[in-house]
Amino acid sequence: MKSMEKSLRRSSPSVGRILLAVAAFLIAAWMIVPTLVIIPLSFSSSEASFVFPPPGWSLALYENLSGGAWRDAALNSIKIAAVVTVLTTILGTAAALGLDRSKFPGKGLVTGSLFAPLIVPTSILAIGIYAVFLNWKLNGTFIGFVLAHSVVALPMVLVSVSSSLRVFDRNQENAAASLGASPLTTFMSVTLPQIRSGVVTGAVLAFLASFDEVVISLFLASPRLQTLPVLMFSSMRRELDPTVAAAAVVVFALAAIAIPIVALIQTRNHHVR
Amino acid sequence: MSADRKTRGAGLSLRRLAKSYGPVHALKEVSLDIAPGEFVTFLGPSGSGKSTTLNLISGFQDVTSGEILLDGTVLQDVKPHKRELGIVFQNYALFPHMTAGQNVEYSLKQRKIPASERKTRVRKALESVGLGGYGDRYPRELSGGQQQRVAVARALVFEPRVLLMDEPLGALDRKLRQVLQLEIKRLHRELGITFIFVTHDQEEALVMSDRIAVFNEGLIEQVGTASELYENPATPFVAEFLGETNALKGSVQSIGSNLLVHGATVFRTDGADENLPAGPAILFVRPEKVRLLTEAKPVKEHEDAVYGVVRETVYMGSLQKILVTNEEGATVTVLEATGAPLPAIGSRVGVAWNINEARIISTEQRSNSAKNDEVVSI
Repeated sequence: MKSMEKSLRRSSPSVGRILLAVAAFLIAAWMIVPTLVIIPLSFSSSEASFVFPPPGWSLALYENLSGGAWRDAALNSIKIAAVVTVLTTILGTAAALGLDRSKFPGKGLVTGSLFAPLIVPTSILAIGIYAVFLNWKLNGTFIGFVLAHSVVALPMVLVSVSSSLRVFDRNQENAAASLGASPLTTFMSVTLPQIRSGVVTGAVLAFLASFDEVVISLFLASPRLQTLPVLMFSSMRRELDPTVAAAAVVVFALAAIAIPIVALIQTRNHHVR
Repeated sequence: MSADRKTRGAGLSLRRLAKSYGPVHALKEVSLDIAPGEFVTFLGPSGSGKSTTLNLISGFQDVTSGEILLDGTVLQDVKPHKRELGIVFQNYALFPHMTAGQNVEYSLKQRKIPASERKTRVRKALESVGLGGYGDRYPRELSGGQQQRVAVARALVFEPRVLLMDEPLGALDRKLRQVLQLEIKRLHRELGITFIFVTHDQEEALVMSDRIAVFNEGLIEQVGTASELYENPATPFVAEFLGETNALKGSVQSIGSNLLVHGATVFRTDGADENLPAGPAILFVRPEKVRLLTEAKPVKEHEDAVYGVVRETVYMGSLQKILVTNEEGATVTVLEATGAPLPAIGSRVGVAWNINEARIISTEQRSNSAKNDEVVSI
């Protein structure tokens, strides 16, 4: 009965719904189409500069990307993002659990400071980190990048795990205890499987947060160690190397793959509930 | 057989048990001895301390003061997962990502029981609650009643010596509740282990328990069998919480008196209670013990009567109710079998009861001690 109603409604959409769909499409197009321009550019045969439409087609720019400075920068980005992901997923999940479970004076302050990197302008954050890391001699180091990126990636995990904890029934942990499971066993066998979607979503977002990070990275980068976004940025400013288009497509593709994965995990999880 | 089975339950003692949250006393002081194999119900309104007591026994909250003894050994220092208590939760708390069978199997896995034995025990446990063949279903594929049965099977499969149940039937409809009440009673009889059942539903308590502990404002008001509590309530709260009752307010003139002065009337009880203090008191008499006076059956010598106006009559199928309000504004309810003609609303009638059915309970005794501390519902 209900499904019949639904299909009836779907077969005769109202004018409002059509307008809504058109508006949504236009907004999405306005946001995405400019970024799509880089795709044909990245297959351009012109290695000299940006010409649109491209005079011819080739994979030359991708070849540039797979060697030399571009390759090193891309590998750095991936390595840093991978370590940041592992680190912030563990710490963020632990922090979310801790904040969910405990009451202590100053809890609001702790929560606020953990979420602060989402609100504080990144340039200010970057200057602060730069100044402190100068003292600690962490500028231009792998650890420095990992620590700085973790600051912006941690809130991603925290937000996503916290929201999945909100719908988790804590009584289940008491039930597991009454059945003889230790707190660690309870977490692994009862809590984690049910907040998994939040943890995985947080991990993906943390990876992207690190991989895409430009502002702080610009401050931290040294000639010996720079990330892909930093190289893209500096190459645009100095020589207008069109290889940046190929690099952009790679970054874009990563996000384009990650976001549907997150969406898929979340719909599947809703199905389980 | 039953004697041998009875020994499987564990005895539980609460000694001056108290729990406070800062300045708030959720549980003031509770002492209770539960015999091995006994079925005890904690009955009380929400915030009375019954669930707090259960949480202290299960270890989900820390004891503020006092002791919990399981078969004579101190329990409150034992970690919750080492207490070996079966618990059925209010919302069942089944693991949604596991099948019914996996839910039941969980405790056996924690105890490292071999897979083949686990399989048989899970099957038997599900069969014992009438869910044989449902092992592969997920909780979301089961009805509320079936989920409740899985929760019971899960709590019993590792053979705990005490089963705690926190309002386990609260979410179910009346018919199903009655069926499950009898099933829980049967399980108790068959297993011979100690059952502690928490409920706010007095009917549930009356149907199932060996003994009932009535909780109110963080204290136990009275402990006793269903009939003891119903027929000889110790406090006004117990009298009014268990079943329906008529309450006539008045005062006792002298210590140990068997008379209650209510306006211009004096009501009697059959015997004097030596502990009854002089002062404000209430006379309680159950509606089914009150009868309508007729010309053919006037008031007798050993009866007390109230005269007033019929305010309402209610037809309830097998029973009918007549509400009579007297000049003092007190209402007396008569509950009788249907058949007798109902008096017209507004007509003047008399109602009477045998004086040995009436109880006078002082309202001073407890209210003083109860009012000193603040109580908050948890």
